[in-house]
Amino acid sequence: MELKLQRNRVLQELSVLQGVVERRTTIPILSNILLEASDSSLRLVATDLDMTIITSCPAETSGEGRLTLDSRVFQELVRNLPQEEFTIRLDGDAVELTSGRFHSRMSVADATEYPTVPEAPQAGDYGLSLELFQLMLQRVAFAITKDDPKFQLNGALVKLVPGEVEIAATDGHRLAVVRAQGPDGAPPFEQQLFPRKLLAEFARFADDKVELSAEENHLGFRMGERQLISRVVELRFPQYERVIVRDNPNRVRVDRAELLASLRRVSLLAHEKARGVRFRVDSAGELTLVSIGYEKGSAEETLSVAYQGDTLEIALNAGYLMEMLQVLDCERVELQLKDAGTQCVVVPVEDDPRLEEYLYVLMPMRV
Amino acid sequence: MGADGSRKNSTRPREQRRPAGYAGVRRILHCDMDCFYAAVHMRDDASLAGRPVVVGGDPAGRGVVAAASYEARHFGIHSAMPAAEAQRRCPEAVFIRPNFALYRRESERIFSIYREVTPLVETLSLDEAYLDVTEHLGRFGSATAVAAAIRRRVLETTRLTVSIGVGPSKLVAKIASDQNKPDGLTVVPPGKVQEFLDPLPVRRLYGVGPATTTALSELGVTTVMDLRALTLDRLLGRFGSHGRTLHAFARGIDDRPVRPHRPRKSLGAEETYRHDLRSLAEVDEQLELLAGEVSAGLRRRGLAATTVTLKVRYADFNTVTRSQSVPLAIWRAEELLRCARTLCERTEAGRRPLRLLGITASNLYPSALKQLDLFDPD
Repeated sequence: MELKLQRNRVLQELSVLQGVVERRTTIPILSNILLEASDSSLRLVATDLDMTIITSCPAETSGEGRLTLDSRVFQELVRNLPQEEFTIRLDGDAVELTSGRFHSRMSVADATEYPTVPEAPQAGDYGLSLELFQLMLQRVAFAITKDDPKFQLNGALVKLVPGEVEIAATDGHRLAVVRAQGPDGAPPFEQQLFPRKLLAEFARFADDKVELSAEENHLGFRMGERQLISRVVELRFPQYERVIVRDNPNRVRVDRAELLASLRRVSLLAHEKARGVRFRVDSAGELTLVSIGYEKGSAEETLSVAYQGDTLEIALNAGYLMEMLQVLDCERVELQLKDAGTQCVVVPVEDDPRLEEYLYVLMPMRV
Repeated sequence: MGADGSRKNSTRPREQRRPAGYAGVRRILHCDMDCFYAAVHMRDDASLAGRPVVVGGDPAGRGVVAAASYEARHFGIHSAMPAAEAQRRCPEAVFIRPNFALYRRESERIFSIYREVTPLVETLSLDEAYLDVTEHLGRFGSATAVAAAIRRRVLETTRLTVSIGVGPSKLVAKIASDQNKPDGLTVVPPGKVQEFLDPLPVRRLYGVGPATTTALSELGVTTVMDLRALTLDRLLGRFGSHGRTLHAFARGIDDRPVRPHRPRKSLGAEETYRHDLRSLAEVDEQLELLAGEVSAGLRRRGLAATTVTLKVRYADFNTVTRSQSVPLAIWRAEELLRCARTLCERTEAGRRPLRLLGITASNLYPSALKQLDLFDPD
C-alpha cells in the first residue's frame, strides 16, 4: 500500500480528529488514528469509544490497506515536513513516510487491534445550518455542571420537533435554553442528551450544514465529508420547563458590557467560590451591585438602568451571570425579577435574529 | 500595633506608667489549664487524689487517651495513646470516660474570668487560650500582676489550676506557659526573649514538628541558638516560605495577633472502632453516621464547606487522608456522604481492615450565603 498525499489537506483532517484522540488512556491504541487507503482517498478515523470521527482526504493510492499510527507523532511529522507533497508506504509492520529528501520509518501497531469503527446511522434528510447549531450550543454549554457527580446534568438536552430545535443545559442552579427554527422534516430523534465532550467537538468543524441521524445506539452527524458518531447516553434530565418563569414583573434593562465589567470588578471582593453579589435596584433607575461574603472587605458600584418599579433586592452568583453575559454580543440585557427568593430570568434585548428565544434562568442566593 | 502603642505613650506621658522598654511591646498571656479533663474529675472525686487518672476510651476496647493526670504521665502515658497501651503501662490507673458537657461547663466559667480582664481572648480549645492584655492592664498595672490575678480567680472559682506564660508574643507566651507546669507562672520580659529562647530545643517553637526537627538536626541545629545561626537564605533554600517563619521565630519575632473570634477552619467527626471494619458495607454504614454528625455540626454553626476530607486508619495504624473540593459549599449529610463515598474509592477500604474513619469538612464559610437549587427549592 502506498499513498501520495498533500500535507495541508492531511493536517486539516488531523486537527479535526484531535478532539477524540485519547492522550492519557489505559487503552494505548486509542491514542492512535486509523488510516485506510481505498480508491483515490485516504480515510482517517479516531475514536475514544464514546465518539468516533471519520474523515477523508484525496490521495493517489496504489493498493488498499489499513494501518494505525500514533496520532501525535504523525501530526507533528506531517506539520514539519519539508515539502507539501509526501508519501506513506506500508512495508510489512513498518510505515515509511517520505517528503523531499526527508525519510522516516516507524513500526506500526497491528491495525486489527483498532476498535471496530461504528457504522454511521442511516442519514435521513434532517439538516441544520452548522453555524446556527454551533451558536446554539455555545449559548448553553457553559451552564453544564463542571464537576458534579450527578451525571444526568453533565450534558445538554437537544429536543427536536418538526420545525423547531430546542437545547437546554443546567447544573441545577441555573438553566440556559435556546430555541431556533428547524427543518420541517421528520426529526431523527425527539430528545437526546449530548455529553459535554460532544458539545465541544462541534467547534472543530466548519461546513454549511450538519445532518443529524440516529439509531438505537448511535447518533450521527455528517458535516460535508466528515462524520461524527456519538454513542447514545442514558437520557436523564430534569423537567426544566417548569422552572422557566415568564411573568416576573420587575424588568431591569441594562447595558450588557457595562454590567459585565462591573460584575468583574465587584465580585473580586466577593467570596471567591460563591461569588455572591447583591443586586439592589430602585425606582430612580439605579442598580447597585454590592459584593458579599468576602472576609477582608467589600466593593460596590452603581449603574444607571431602565427600571420602573419598587426597590428590589436579590443576591446572585456573579460568576453564573458573567458566564452568560460573555456569550452574548447584544447591546443590552433584561433582568426579569420578582423577589429575592424567586428565580431571575435574563434575556438579551435584541438578539441574533436566527434565534427564536434565548433565556437564562438563575436561582438566587439566599443571604 | 507597635506604632499605635508608642503614640499613645507619647501623648499620655505619665498615666500609663509602663516600665521603660515596654513602649510598643505587646503583653500576651497564654493560659493553659493543667491536665484539664483529668483535673476536673480529680476535683470532684476525692478518692482519685494522687492516683494515676486516664480520661479516654475503654482500655478493653480501642479508644485512645484524651487526657492523663500527672501521676499517670509518670508512667509514660500521654494523650492520643491507645487506652489499652496506657493500661499496659500502668495497670492500677483509673480509667474514666470523658464527660464533655462537664468540661464545657467548667471551661465557660474559666473563660468568663479571662473575658473580665480583656475582650481579646483567643480560644484554642476548651482549656487553652491566648489573652492580649496590652491595653487592659487596668488596676493591676502589669501583665505579671494580671496573670497572677487570673490564676487566683480560676483557683477560687473552680478549684482548678492554670499555668500561664507571659511574653511579648504568642510564640513566647505559649512556650513560657509550659515552662513551669503545673500551677506555674512564667514571665518573659521583652528584653529577655532571646535569652529565654536560645537554650530551648527547636521543637519547642511553634510550627516545628517532627519533620522539621529532623531536617534541622541534619543541618546540625538542635537549639534555638543553633537555628539563629542559619541565614535567611539558607532557611528559605531548605524550607521554602516556612524558612522565613523559622528565621523570625528563632529571633522571637512573632506578629500574629490575638484573634478573639478565630474563624473555625474545619469541622469533623471520627470514630475508632471496637472491631475492624472489613467490608465496604460496614464502612459505608459508618460513613453515613459520620456524614450525619458533621452535617449536624455544620448546620448548628450555620456553616458550609467546600472541601471534604476522608481519613482512614488501617488496622496496622497506617493512616491515609483523601480530599475533594466541590464548587459550591455543602452541608447536607447526603452531599457530604456522596463526597466521602467518592473519596473512599480512593482508599483500600473493603480490601484492608480498618480501625478508624473520619470525615472533616473544611474551607468553611457561612452557609447563610447559599446558592438555591432550581429543581429542589428549599
